[in-house]
Amino acid sequence: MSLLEIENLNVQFSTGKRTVHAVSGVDLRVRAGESLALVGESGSGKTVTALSILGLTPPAPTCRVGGEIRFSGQNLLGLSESRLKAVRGGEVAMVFQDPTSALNPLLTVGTQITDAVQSHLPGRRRRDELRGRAVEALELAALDKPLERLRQYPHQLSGGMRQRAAIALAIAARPRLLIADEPTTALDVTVQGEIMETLGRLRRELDMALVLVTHDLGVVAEHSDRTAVMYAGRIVEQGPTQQVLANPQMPYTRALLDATPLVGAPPKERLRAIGGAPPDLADLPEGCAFSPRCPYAIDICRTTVPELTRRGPDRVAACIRTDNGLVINGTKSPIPASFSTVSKSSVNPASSPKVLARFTDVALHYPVRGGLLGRKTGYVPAVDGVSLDVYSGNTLAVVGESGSGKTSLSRTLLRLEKPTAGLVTYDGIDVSQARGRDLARLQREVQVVFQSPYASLDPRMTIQRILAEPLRVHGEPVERDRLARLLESVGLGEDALDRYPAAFSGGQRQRIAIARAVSLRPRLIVCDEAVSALDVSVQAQVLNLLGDLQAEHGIAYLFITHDLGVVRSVADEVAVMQAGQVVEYGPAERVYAQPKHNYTRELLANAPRQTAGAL
Amino acid sequence: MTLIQLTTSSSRKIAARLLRMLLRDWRVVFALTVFVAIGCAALVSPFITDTMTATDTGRLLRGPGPGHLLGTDNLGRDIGARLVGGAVVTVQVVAIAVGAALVVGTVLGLLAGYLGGWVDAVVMRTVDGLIAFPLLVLALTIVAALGPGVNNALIAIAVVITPQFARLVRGEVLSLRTRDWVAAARIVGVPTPVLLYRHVLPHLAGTLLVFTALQASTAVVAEGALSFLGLGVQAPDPSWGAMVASGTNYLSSNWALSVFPGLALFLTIAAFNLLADALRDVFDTHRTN
Repeated sequence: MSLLEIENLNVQFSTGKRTVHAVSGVDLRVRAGESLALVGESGSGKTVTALSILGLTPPAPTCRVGGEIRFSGQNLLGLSESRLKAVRGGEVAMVFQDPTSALNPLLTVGTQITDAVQSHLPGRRRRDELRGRAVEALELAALDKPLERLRQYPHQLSGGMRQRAAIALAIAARPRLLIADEPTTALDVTVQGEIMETLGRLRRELDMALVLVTHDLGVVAEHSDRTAVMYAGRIVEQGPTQQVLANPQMPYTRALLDATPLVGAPPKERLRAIGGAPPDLADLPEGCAFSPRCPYAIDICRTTVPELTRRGPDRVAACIRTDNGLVINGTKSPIPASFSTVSKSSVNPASSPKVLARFTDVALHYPVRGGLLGRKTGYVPAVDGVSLDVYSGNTLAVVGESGSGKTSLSRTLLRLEKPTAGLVTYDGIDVSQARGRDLARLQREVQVVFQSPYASLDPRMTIQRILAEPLRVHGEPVERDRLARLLESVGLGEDALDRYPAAFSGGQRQRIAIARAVSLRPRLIVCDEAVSALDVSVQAQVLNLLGDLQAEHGIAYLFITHDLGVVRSVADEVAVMQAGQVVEYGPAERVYAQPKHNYTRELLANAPRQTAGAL
Repeated sequence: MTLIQLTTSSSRKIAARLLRMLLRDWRVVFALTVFVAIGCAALVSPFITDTMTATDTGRLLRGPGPGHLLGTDNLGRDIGARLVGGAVVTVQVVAIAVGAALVVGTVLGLLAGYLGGWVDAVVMRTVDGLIAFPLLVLALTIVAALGPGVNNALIAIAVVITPQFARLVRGEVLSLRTRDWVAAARIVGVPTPVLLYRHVLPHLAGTLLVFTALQASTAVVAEGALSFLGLGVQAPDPSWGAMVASGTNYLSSNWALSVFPGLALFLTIAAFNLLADALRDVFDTHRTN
């Protein structure tokens, strides 16, 4: 018998007149000790499904949950809050994406774990027994020096250690099912692998089932027995992980695999992006929800919602086309047509590129102030003696984990920070001293695309005003035609001009931010984690767009990122930063093929290399 | 319905829908009713100055009744007429004192928050110094130094409220200036005044509106207190605060003398507070985004 059986789960959110069908007719089974991956992009319903198992969805009437969720035969949806509490944390526990907000900052790690243990044990226990249990849980979660950790507060631990503490908290009462919602997404690449390994080991040692909610196919490939792929609130494919990834039966799964940037891919290759954007859950298209973006869709797909049909032992998929014999495996999905048809090699000939921007021994120290008079008592070296060159028409990728100084470095070029020492030059201009005509050149020729598509556009301005601003500042004409052409170059229509940023999805906003950046025909664009906040399918679109613009206009990019896979498709040169210093710097080919520094090797080892082929 | 949904349509439509949203709120309707009443009173008062200052020793301290609807005071003046006259000062306090504090405080806060450095140090230390004193004590000190009178009372009220605006605005600017859209504007070279006006100020509008309504009620209280102590409006001109003050001596013989101006003050202050409440409810949904 299955440990967890979900039957016909439906979750609806109502806000005002809108009803959002977050989850529609989901069936899932998890056997004891099994690991099930729930995969999907944002808005696919994977997190809502996970939350409804624990009864953590918002109360009615905002949210209505229908169907059955049986945990060892008992329907959790019918339980009273007090009965549910016994299950929650006791038999079913959860690990969240962000350990910083999952732990109480005012209580020690020890207190939080002993509280959890006490609340799930009958009767009062002695203090040292509870402590013993807590230490055991910390040891299981592979936190070093558990006795010391008990007395520490969450802020005294690093991100990875915090997630381990959260895991210890979750397993303290020995649950039979652990739900992990994007457990490694908020962590640095080098820590991600270790955390996933710990979860895998715990599953075996404690004979615990694991529901792994994630968007990362690399994690899925390595850490799950079975996989369920969700799209627009439905399960569209389910089966043993190896089979699903090696031989997908639903075009969406295929496309998701193809769109994932891999460090093993050929350099500077166009990604196979999925066109369009995920559907609006309040206004789903008729028929198959994926049909508007599906390269294989035919008329019947647009009128009939496909049922999940059997595709082998323990395998189902919801696609009319593959059910009728269409083979999507083997052949990669078609490369999407680009709106700019210029191919890279034809426009950007090997006319020896010249140095456009140069960092020479750049250091940036943030002062630490203390005492009554706010005197400087020390400093934090964010960037420590970095020398790099950005060549015209080329892409320099600066790769590093959080706190490595990669963003601080880029801010010196953008004149948002003044370097403490060293020199930043752009085309011979000293960036920090630029005045008059030189300054005006920098303002026109060096632009930026930030990480968060939600923070980089002023929410109170229409797209028209946002795009017109740089042109107006530099005294250029701002006819509507010109702005419309700008939008067209990033794949958006003229009707976008009169709307506000809130009307657009993350990917669309990032396109608008790119349109603003290219409006003055810049020669260099700083992309600060420009695609990190986007879903895989949309990420590929934006990366391709950046590549097209480079090919067409010879724009150079300084590409700041933590993700070596993402960089693969854009970088000509790679610099790896650690603790404010460049530890490896060279042509992308060489860095990927023969990394010299240990840290680079470690980063590469932890990046997704292949999703399907390796299995 | 939230502002987030509203922002997807054009700005004129937003304004229209916002207005409809507000007009459905009883607090807003109440506040507007009070404001219209005060406004009408202030407009009418120049035509009845004779009535409100005419003394009549034959009719001292009458209770409410025919002839004098709200009764008469210790000099036989009509309380109703004096209430109408007192509205003028209230309007002046809100329009002049609070208005000046809003403008000056916002500009100072914007400069201090955005420019930082010595500008910030000078402005904020001054603000800290002024805020360190209890509001009324400071207002009293200023009027005592300048001499009693309506104009000086208005100056005093403006001076004590300005730092509140400056501090609020500076705090908001400190967080707004680090936003990516501000950085993006700086990078293309948008001049600082334009940047503040276009990318920072609009985001403060909601907060400022709520805060202004709250400060207006504080200002009305302060004026009432100053006039109560004889430092604001001077006799024979009427002021609600002064009326309450003189009425306290005659509470046993005519309660109406203190109660009606007190009620007028209460309604005005309540109106501003409730309006601030309602506005906050509307704008907060946006700020959580």
